[in-house]
Amino acid sequence: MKRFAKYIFTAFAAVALMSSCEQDNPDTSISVITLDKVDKTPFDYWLEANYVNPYNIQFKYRFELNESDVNYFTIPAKYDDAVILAHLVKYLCIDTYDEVAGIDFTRAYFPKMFFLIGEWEYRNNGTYILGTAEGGKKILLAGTNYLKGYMTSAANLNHYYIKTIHHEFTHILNQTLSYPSDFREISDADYIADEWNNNTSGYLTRGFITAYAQHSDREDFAEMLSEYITNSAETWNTWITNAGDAASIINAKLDIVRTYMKQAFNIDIDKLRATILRRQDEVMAGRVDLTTVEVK
Amino acid sequence: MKRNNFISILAVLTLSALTLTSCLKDEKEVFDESPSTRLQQTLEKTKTILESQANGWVMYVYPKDPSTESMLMGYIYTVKFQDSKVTARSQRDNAGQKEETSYYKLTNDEGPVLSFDTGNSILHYWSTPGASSSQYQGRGGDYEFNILEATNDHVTLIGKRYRCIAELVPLQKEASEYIADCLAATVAQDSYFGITCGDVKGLAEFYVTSTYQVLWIGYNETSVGEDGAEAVEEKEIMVPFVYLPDRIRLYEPIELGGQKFQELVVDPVNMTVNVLDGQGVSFGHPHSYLSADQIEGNYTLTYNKKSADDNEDVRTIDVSLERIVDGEGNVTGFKMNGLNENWAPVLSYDDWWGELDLRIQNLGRVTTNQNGYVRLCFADLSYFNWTLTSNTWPYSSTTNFRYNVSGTYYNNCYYTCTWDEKDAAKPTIGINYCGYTYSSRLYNSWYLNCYSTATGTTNRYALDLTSGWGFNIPGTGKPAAAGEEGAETESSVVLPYPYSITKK
Repeated sequence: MKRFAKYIFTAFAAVALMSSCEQDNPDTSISVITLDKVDKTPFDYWLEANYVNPYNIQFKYRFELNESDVNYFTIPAKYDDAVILAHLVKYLCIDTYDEVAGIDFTRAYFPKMFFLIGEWEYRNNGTYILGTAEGGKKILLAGTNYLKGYMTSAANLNHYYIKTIHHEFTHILNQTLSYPSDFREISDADYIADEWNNNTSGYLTRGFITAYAQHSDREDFAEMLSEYITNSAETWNTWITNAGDAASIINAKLDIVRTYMKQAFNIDIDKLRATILRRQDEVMAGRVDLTTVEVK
Repeated sequence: MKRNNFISILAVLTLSALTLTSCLKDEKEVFDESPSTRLQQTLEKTKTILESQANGWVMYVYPKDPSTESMLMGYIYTVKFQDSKVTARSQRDNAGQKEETSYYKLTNDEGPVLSFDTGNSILHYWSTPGASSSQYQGRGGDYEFNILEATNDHVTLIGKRYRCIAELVPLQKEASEYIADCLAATVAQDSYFGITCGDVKGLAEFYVTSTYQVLWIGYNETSVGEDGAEAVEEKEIMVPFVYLPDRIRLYEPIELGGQKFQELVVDPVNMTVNVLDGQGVSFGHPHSYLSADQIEGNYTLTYNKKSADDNEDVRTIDVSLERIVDGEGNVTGFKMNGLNENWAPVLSYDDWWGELDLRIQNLGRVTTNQNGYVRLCFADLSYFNWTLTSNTWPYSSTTNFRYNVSGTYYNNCYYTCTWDEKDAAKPTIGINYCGYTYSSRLYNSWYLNCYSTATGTTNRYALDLTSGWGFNIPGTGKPAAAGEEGAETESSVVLPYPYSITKK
């Protein structure tokens, strides 16, 4: 009992000591975190209406050190070019998936952030990076200031900007629902990781649709889909013909891609291709206003 | 029991430790506002300051070599901030006549930051990378700056990547006019900053060169060691600078002979450069400097027309050096008249160094054939070990030049040319100049090719004009300081070779 009393005393003493402290009540009406007060541009309002509100997608066209990769030397994107690129991404990618798979699909899976820079990310060996994707969420689009120069053909637009988005989007879909391991087994022995860069010819006859597809099964899958949907049937068939004996390899992989897209997301890749090509043609024919920042 | 005592003591100690630390009563706020609020206030204040200048600001930046991180040069932008946009010009883009507008922002990702965050080819010139291995890092400039200080008449920034100070000073006039003034001053001041020596109180002499807006100062510093022996140490200072309309401003103050200074101003009357914010420092032209006025005039060209059996045959020709002035009134070179009525070689004039310079040039054209140029050539046969082959080209009766083109290819030396002149009263003379392309100075000698119309043969004779840069002008050989010991006073200079060009 005596022992118990001692404990009680100790406890009371402690409570007494604690309560002797003055209360420091923070003023909750003032936030200690202040946000940048950067004035909005007309383009910001357009993005709000076309990206943020309908899709919760951030389209960062102004340079931010924290979004950039400091291992590379680059410059900010030009405003006018960023406006055009935002329209292109919207019209050729977002709207396409809305049309083919429904807006809920786009909202659920399409990358939530784009970050634009003006130049490519140059390495010291003369090669450069067109774009990257991070964690299924963010897509870096480089070389924005060259956009007008590549608007001359759909092939260029795809090569430098748009195909990158479809490619990275494929990764996101794969991360959401993985594709069957049968895919990997088809070319398993021929994946060469970074060595692809030294084997940039003859890839078709080895059963790959692009040189980069030789990197790994993940890249192969993304290349298969993004190349298929951004190129015409004629172009694709020419590649298949040029692949010779390896055509069966590509076709086998395409079958898996086709089935996967249908079963996992109910997307018919031929319909997707037709939609993309139609929209591409409309852009090329100048029927799409790519410069307006007017909010309707 | 003992064990329980121990536990209770431990409990008391623990509790009191907890309660004590929870109660530091001397904790005081140093500032009234929270850090983030103060940061925000700084940004708002800076924005007001930046946008308050009607003409904008002149901005001094100092790009660095991305590999070596040494500063490349000083460079001027003008920046006008308005409605979250910045309108920029530079000393480079169409000489300040081109302007480009983009957005800027004041942000706080690394303390208060000024960021030119949308594309602007003028402001991003020094940051733009390229595919080549020398260019992939850009040109060493920043477009994001930490704000160090912002007042109504001065803003100091430091580049985020390269850590070079950039300064903003309010513009008192239109940006385009201001840059025009700076560029005009660049031309006017260049000749004075090409100076190669000067004096600082306490230092005997120092050497200064300036290229691409970097001032290089070399001097000897004498110190006395413990044993009383004097030791001389070579020192150098390299500092980039910007040209302002009336002065140059160095990247940072430098100390020379106990004097500290950052700004220099030209005194065109005395041909000196004076220090604005330090006393007792002056810069002057080198002893060997020759002004255009000193060079222009009549000369006698003496040469040795050696005969075939190597006998001396010294002859003279009257020549004159006539200045060539460009549209802005600068002397760019001199024409040497009198050698031949059909052509006159041009000696370019370097007003940084006060030196003449003779380069490969076309003197005229005798046919429309692409090789039909009469060309003043560089070819020191002894040095470059030429082999001569003969290759006679069509004779042109209208100009009555006879010439041939020969020689093997070396650097920029494509031809040696010989030609003669119709008027037999004048010596038939062709000039091959020898030198090498990497040095713009005279290398060794001129060759006179004398063609004999009687025999149809050509003899080459060396005409050596070397002595410094080849020309000695009596009385002005050392013009730097009047009455200075060692200044040339003779009326003529004897060259080690019997060939000279002498001012009359």
